[in-house]
Amino acid sequence: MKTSNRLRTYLITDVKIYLGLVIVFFGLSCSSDDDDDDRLGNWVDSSVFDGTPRSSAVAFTIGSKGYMGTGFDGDDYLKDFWMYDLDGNFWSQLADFSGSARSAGVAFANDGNGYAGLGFDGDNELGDFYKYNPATNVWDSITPFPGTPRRGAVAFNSETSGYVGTGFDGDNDKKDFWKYSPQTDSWQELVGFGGNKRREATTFTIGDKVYMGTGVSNGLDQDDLWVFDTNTEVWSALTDLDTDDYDVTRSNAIGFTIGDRGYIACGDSGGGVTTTVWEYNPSTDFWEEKTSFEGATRQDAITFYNGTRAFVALGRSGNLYLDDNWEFFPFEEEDEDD
Amino acid sequence: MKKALKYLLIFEIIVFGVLVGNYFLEKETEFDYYSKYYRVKVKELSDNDNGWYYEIYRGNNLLIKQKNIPGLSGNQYFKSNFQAKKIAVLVVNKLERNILPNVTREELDSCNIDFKK
Repeated sequence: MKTSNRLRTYLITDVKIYLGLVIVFFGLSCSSDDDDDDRLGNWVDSSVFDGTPRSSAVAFTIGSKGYMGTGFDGDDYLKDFWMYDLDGNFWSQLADFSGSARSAGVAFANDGNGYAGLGFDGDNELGDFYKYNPATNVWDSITPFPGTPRRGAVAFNSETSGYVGTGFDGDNDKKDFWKYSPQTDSWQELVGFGGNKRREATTFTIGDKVYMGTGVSNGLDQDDLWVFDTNTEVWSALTDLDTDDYDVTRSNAIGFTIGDRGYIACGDSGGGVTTTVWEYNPSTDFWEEKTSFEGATRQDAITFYNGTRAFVALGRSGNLYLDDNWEFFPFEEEDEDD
Repeated sequence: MKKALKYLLIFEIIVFGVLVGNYFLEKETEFDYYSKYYRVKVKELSDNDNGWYYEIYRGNNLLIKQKNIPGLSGNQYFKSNFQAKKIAVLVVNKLERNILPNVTREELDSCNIDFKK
C-alpha cells in the first residue's frame, strides 16, 4: 500500500516535470509585442540572402513567385536571374537573362510570362527586350522597344498588354509611353500622357488602374500624380504629391499594392535616401504616412507584390549595396523585435 | 520496492537520453555538407523528372532550393547526387565569402557538370 502510494506520488511529480518542460518550451517560442506608434504598418525581415548586394535590378511577380535579376553590384553589371518563393521563403537561380548584363532596366508580367528590357550597360542606354517563360525556364528576345533606348523608365501591365514609358535616353528625360501586345509581338505608341518628362519614377496597380508618380528631371523631383485606366487607356491627373498635408515626392522609389491601397516607399527624397512609406487611398485621393521601412535606408530597391503580400528587397544606400528582404504588413502595429 | 523506484528513475533517464541523442543524431545526418553557417541537402527529383537537386539552409531556414541547374536555359537537372553536391558546395563557399552566389556556365564547365549547351 505504502509503495503504491509512493509510486503514485512519483508518477505525478514526473508528469508535472514534463508538463513544466513543455510549457517552458512553448513559452520560449512566443515573443511579446508591446510597441506603440501612431503610424500603422509592420516590416518583417523575411529572408537573409547574404552576399547578394545589388541595386537597380528588375523584378516582376507572377502569382506567389517573385522574379528578380540583372542590376549592379558596385563593380559589375549583372545578368543572373532569381526566383523568390513568397510562400516558401526561398530562392532559386534561373536561366541567365539572355540580353547583356545591365542595370536600371524595366520589367512587367503578362499572362504568366515575364518581360524585361531597356537599361544601362555601363556605356550605353539599351532598347532590347526579352520574354521569360517560367514553365520552360527560357528567355527569348522579342521586338525591341521602338522608342529611344533608355534607362530609369517605368513599366506596368494590364490583363492583355504591357506598357513602358518615361526614362532617360542618355541625352534627355522622356515622357513618351508605348504599349506592347504579346499576341502580335508588337509595340505601339500611346499618346495622351500630359505629365512632365522624368526618369526613375514609380507605379503601382490597383485593379484595372495604374498610378504613376514621383521621379526626377533636371534635378527636380516631380510632384504630379497620374492614374491610367487600362480599359480606356486614358491618363488623368490626380492631386499632387506635395501638399500642405504630405510630401511624397522622391525618385528611385518603389511602388506596390496590398489590397485596395497603394504604397510608395524608400528612394531618394532629394535631401538624401529615405525610409519613409506612404499609403495611397484611391477613394479619397489622399496619402497617409505609415511605419517607416525598418531595414537600412535605400534607393533602387525592388519589390515583389501579388495584391495580398508585398516584399521589399535589395537596393543601395550611398555606396553600400544591400542584400536583405522585408515583408510589409500595413495594418499591424510596428514590432521592432521581429 | 525503493530499489525498484530507483531502477525506474534510471531507466527513465536512459530512455530520455537515448531519445534526445537520437533526435540530434538524426538532425546531424540529414545533411550532406556543412560549412560554418550553411548546410546542404542533396535530394533526388520525384515525379517524371530524372535528376538531383540541392537545398541550402542557414540555421533551420531554407535559403536556396535549386531544382534546375543554375544559370542554364531550359529545365536541365543534375545527372548525379555528386554533381549536385559539387555545385551546392561552390554556392555555399560563395555565401560564406559574402559574394554573389550565382553560378556561371564557366564554373559548371570547370566542375565537369553534364549539361546541354
